[in-house]
Amino acid sequence: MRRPEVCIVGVGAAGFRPALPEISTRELMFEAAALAYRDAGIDPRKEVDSFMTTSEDLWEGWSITDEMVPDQIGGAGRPVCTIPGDGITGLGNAVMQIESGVAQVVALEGHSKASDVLDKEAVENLAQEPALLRPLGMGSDTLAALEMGAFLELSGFGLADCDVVLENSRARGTANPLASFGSRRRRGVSPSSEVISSPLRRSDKAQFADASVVVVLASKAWAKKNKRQAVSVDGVAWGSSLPWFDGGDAAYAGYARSSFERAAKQAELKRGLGSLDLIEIDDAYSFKLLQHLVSLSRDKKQASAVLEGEGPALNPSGGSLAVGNLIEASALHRLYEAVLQLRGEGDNRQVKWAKSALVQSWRGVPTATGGVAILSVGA
Amino acid sequence: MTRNRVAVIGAGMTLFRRRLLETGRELSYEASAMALEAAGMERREVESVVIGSAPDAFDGVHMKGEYLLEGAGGIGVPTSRVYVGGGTGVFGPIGGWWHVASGLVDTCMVVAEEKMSPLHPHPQYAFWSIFDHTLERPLGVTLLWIFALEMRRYMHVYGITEEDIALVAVKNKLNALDHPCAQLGAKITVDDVMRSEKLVWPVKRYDVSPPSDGACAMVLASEEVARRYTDDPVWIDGVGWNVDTQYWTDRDLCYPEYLERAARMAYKMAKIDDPRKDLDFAEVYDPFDYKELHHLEGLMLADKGGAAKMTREGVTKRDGDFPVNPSGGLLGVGNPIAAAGLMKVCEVFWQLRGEAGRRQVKKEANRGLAQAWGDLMQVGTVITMRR
Repeated sequence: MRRPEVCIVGVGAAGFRPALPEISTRELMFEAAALAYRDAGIDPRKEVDSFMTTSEDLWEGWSITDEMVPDQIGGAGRPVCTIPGDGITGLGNAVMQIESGVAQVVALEGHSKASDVLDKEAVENLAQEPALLRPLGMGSDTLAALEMGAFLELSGFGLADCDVVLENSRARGTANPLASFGSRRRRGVSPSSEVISSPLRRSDKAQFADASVVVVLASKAWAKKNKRQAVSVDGVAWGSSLPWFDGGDAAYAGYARSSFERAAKQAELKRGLGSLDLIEIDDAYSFKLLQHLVSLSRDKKQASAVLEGEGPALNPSGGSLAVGNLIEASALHRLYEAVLQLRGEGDNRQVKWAKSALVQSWRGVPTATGGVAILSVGA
Repeated sequence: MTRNRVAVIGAGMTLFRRRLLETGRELSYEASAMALEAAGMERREVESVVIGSAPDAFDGVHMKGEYLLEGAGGIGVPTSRVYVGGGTGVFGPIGGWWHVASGLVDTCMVVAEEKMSPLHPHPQYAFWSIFDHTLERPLGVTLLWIFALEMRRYMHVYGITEEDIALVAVKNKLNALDHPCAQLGAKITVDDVMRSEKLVWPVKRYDVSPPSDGACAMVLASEEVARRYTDDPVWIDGVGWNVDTQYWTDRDLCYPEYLERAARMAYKMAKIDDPRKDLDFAEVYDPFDYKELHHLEGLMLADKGGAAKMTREGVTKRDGDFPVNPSGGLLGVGNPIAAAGLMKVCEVFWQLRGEAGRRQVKKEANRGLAQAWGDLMQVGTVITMRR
């Protein structure tokens, strides 16, 4: 795989609150799309060749969610499709559309309107394999807790390390206007935090939030011709490993490592994570950040160094623990943050001299699916 | 200009039946194993997987792509699910096409699966939830109702009769008698269609394809890889897709403009100036018999309102001047939504390779087209292929 000739020329984000009762999913999508098109300086009716969303059936109370996508993102009567999955999978498909020549400019949208869903666990549980796993009656949090217990046991990390993750993530979130759950409480976990399923505490889990993010991608040739500010997509890869309950590894996120290796090869990264200025890593649960970091670093020592502030800046947005779990839009939010940072628009959370970034995603329980994107400016 | 030419080098298909005992994963495995065997390729040589499946509600599994990926061979390689409702079956190979055409991978396994039977009391219930919860669901509409409206509008504008439309069901069910995987092949008459149970006027039971379970798969490869596996690759030379507004009440249902736009996209890529002349046959989406006529017109393979005449004159029969749905289509082979669309692309592949057996069209077939339709009567997906 070679380095793609694709860049990000516009981003837009809207919502980012635990609940947005005043607007619908479609209005939320419209707001983010309008901001992204303005940021990219394009007319979607004329200059976007293909529209893509990452939504998955049932979260909006809809079957075939694809049908309700085109109007509010300017795609009616145009090539529109859904790539159900996290935003990195969507990003990869957008990159391939551009590289194939079928499109020069692609708009990629992801959203969460989780607050509309009365029983989120019921939707999550429907994702479990129906013959062998679902009948066991374990919810997503129970599956996550079992993985957390195994990970902590095998990795040598402990609950105290999860507390540090929580404290740092939420503290960083206080500098991010999109983060609803930022806080400066010392020791991230309240002593009264309920144990959902041992060892998982309620605080270890990112709370759901509503948001929409739109990213506009273009070929580098288009960006050059139209003189747009561009963030290069140097590498993008995604994949699935066996979930731990199907015989996969709990100590290690195979999907994260394999995606990183493929993306790093495309981007020609020489020194692994050490080559990067900032990383935005999935932290839907506190232990997942540790697991993902170890999987990207390949050893606990390097992971611990990053946690202690050496190497790339870790989750300057505050991550999902501070911003909220945006379901399939979570990865696009990380991408949004990385783009802002690389453009020097991170305001009071700006990472100094940020020229390169990594974004890593995970689709959540019960999957072992995720991806990695590597971005840069000024290369 | 694409980086890679994309070839189809193998295809596979399970039986299409109501209430198959195999799980969705097993169906995906079976279809992909057949496609690999046909291609002479091993699973470890597949660099990427694209999964197509329509609503999660059918299988009763959320994130259906995740559920199917083990069966489809998606562990350890980049796997994507692509989705445009009922148009997904033809969109799967379009997604596979951009994987390979991009030059980022050289091979892609495309798998489409649908298992409609688990939904009780009837698969139609899954369609309750496809309507807008504020504007449409309170009206109590069903999918059959809105298709009846579209069929009626089409008949009214062009003066088409129910008997004209019934000829499509007669033709396709007859064609399906020669398909070894078909669910509803039959020798029926126009009278049989006319006398079948009225569901929502003018739609009658024999106008409609059945609910089905099944899976299809195909292997796509770059030219360099394809040449290593076969001397007879079939090239994908045009792809197009288009999604119209969700607000179907704002459209004139007599003509599928979204399909014309999708077709124009594909024809431009394939350098097809006169589709009726440049193409030799077509697999057109026919979940209802009137849709074959509607789609032939949207694809510009017939004049507006002219597809019924083509059918009456026998042009679209398997031994006609322009065979349409030589497979037997959804009306005869069955309609496991996404798998049904991919079945059409598989049929084009088999026809172009001369491997369609008793279904082989009589005329020399060098170029063919497959098309599907979906969402809320708003998606057109088109793929053109050539030897």
